Amino acid sequence: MTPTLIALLVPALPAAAAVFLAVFGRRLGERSSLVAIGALALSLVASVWLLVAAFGHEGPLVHATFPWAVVGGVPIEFGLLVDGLSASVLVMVAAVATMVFVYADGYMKGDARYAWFFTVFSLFTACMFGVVTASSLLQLMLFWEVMGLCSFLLIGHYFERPEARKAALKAFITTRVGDMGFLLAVGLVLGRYHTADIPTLLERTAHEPHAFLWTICALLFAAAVAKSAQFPMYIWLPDAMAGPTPVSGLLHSATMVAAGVFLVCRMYPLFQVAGFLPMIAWPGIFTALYGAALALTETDIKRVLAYSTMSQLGYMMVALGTGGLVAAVFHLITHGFFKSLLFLSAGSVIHGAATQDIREMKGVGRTMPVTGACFLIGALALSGIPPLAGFFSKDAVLASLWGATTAHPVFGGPLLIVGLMTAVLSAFYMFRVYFGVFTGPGRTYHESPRSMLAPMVALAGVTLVGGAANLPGAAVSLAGALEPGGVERAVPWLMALSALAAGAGVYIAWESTRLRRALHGTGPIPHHLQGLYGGVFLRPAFAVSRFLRELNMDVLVSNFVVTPVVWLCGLASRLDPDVVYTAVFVRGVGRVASSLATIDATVVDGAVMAVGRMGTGAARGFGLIDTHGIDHAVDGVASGTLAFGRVLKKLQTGITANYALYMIVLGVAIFYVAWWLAR
Amino acid sequence: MVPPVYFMVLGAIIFLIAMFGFLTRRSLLQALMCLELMSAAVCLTFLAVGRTMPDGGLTGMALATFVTVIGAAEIGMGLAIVLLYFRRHGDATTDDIDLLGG
Amino acid sequence: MTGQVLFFAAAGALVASSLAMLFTRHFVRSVVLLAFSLIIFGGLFALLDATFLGLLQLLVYAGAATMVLVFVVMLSRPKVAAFSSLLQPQTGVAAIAVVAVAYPLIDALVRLAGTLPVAPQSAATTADLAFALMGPYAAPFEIASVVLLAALVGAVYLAREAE
Repeated sequence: MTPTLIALLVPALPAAAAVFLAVFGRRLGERSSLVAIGALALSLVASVWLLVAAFGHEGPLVHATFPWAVVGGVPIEFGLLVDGLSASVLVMVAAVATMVFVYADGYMKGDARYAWFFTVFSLFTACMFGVVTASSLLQLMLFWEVMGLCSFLLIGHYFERPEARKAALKAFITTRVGDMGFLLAVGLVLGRYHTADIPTLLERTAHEPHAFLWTICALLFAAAVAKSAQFPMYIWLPDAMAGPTPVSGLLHSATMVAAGVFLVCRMYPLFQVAGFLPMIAWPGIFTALYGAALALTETDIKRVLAYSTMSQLGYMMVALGTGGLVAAVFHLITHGFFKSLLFLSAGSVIHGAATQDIREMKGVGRTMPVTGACFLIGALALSGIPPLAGFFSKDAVLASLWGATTAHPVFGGPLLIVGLMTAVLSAFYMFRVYFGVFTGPGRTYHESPRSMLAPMVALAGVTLVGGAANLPGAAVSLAGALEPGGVERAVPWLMALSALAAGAGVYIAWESTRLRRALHGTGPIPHHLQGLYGGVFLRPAFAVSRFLRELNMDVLVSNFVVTPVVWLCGLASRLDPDVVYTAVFVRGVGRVASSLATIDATVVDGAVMAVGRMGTGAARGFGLIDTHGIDHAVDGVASGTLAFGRVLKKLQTGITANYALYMIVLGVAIFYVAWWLAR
Repeated sequence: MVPPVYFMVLGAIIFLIAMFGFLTRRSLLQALMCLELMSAAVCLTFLAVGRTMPDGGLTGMALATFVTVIGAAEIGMGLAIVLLYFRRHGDATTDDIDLLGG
Repeated sequence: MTGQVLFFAAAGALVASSLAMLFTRHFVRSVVLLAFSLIIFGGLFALLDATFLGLLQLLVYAGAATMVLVFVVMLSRPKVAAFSSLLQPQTGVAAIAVVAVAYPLIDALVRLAGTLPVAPQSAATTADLAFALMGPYAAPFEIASVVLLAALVGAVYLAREAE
């Protein structure tokens, strides 16, 4: 069993399962899942074997190519490339996919298209394995595109529903825009370097930072941005929640959205040589903050997780942008586990509560303890609370930002600060959901069946101990897997700071939940939460979040980005002058006008409203200061004077002897003063 | 000769005794009597201190004279007031004089 | 020598009589004890070579003031009562005030004791006092006389029989 063969098994087994199920699925019915799960389990075993073998191995473990054709002097090859990077990601994908498949077996029971679901699911997983083990860019792109197709089919599984159809199409088209970039990049690469084979390409570009290289990187990055739901191509991800929860649990946590990050990781030397890294960092950190801000006021539990995914991927991007390859991969892996865990737990809750709105879920943790515990573990990991896996990976990302800060304070400093802010916000929005949904009194819910709970518990277990995968100073660590002899280093005070930031976010979420419950009449309002505290922190944060959500980026992005690209692609068929004229001048101008109108209505008006609301908010704040603070002070002075007077009144007895005593006492006092002065 | 300090000590003792009496008497008359004793003690102290001064006690004597005179005036007035009070109330205790109380 | 004996005897008698004046229950006895104290005071003044003032004390206080006091006592006839009823409720506080006054007094006296000369110079005579009262102390003398006049006229006015 050579490593090559084993590496081949990993994508081949699920592909074979997909083909098998495509033919025999309907006959197997609900037993289709067994075939799929079986294939995946074997792939998992193979992946683990590959990882162990690749650890400490100098150079890629497997680099086998199979020539397909030669076009214009350029060889087109397909092959396998397995090194530390791909092996680690393979293990994560295989493990999460196996868990999700088991979960889906329970979740999709009774669905009319059960077998078809597992067919597409298996095909998708095979494609993801293909992306990770591809040896040439062209091959990677091929699998990348098929993944997009599978995503379309999976999101649109409930195609009877119009929102599912629209969401599927939106996801496909938006990621397609990025794929245009990928295609152009591959074309440029083939044209200039005459090879698409990744290791060869990296070797050839190692020494000359050609200007071309920057463009290639930009195009590849565009593909990654669309696939990984970074700003501004994130608009498809929240709507993609219309698909079944197992789809979100696999695609939108561990696999498809991770593929964009993986692409950058795979081509990392290229990005480094081209000097493109800063261009990755800024959009990355912006997306991280933006996603967190959007999640602050979201009420659909799956959409919160979607924005959270967007934000966490931003973290990975900014880590890559500041030289932290290990940190990004580590976070990719841990995120795959805990985000998948969160999605599965959310699916369990939705299953039990028959709603996706967190406002309608109360006290779920009491009657669904396993789900509650799993969600809590996922939330703790995402917030970065030690010693869960998420803490170590998020801290690795922050350490990378700190590294950038020490090297270039002006560039890196804001990154680190925004990174910490986002950490606080992440903890906050996650625990806002946890406390709001799982704690407190509520109805009775039915806990989900074991087939759904078992994979959740398994993922929770991994999340709890996963930090051990990359401990600072450990010899056996992810750092060692990615480059032989690599050891993770730690920045202790930064670890403490990030833990503190996470704790702060959790605490604020708890206080905010208590305040909200008190305001809705289920408890007394904690005194220190009124007035200034709420006005200074909570209300502005929520206001910004709501404003961002109302911004309707969908329309803007689709009008300014997606539609032009699609239109450009269709140019070939529209060369008729009449059609061009109508399209460009008539409809084009109309579209520009409507986009501007939208900007006016949402951005400008929104800004004006926001200023107005800030003003009223400030006025209310001052009013509160006035009534609570100043008026109290004034009343206090008045009542203090009254009390003082009442005390003094007791001295005026009217009894002469008392007055005589007072006289003598005063005289004695004066005498004492004089005596003391004379000493 | 007796050192003047002895007289000062004696004067202080009598002053303290009389002050205690003045502060604790319920009867107006007794208070006035203690007041007399106090002023006599003060006179004694003045004389004793004055005796140690270079002018042979002259200043002390003068001051003591004035204290005595004022004391006499005061006791006259005081007794008149006591009489008035007695005529109105029938007894000379000070418990009920609290009309100026707050 | 004789002076010392006289002083201590007089001092002892004075303290005893003033304490007795405070603690006796018979009103008239306390008045008599007051008179007695004032007489001893006169003697003490004489011991200090202030003979004029001693005589003044005897005549004015022990004589006239005490007599007026006796008159008023007889007119008002205070009843003999229990000892506790003779005391004000603020006795405790008064005791504290007395102690508060005593402390600096004693402290000052003790300090003074070392520094004072033992009356070496000759005492002033009555003639000296007379010259002083008419000379440097003329103004206070006149004012004191006016005050005395005003007080006595006022007393007479206040105490006259109701019409």
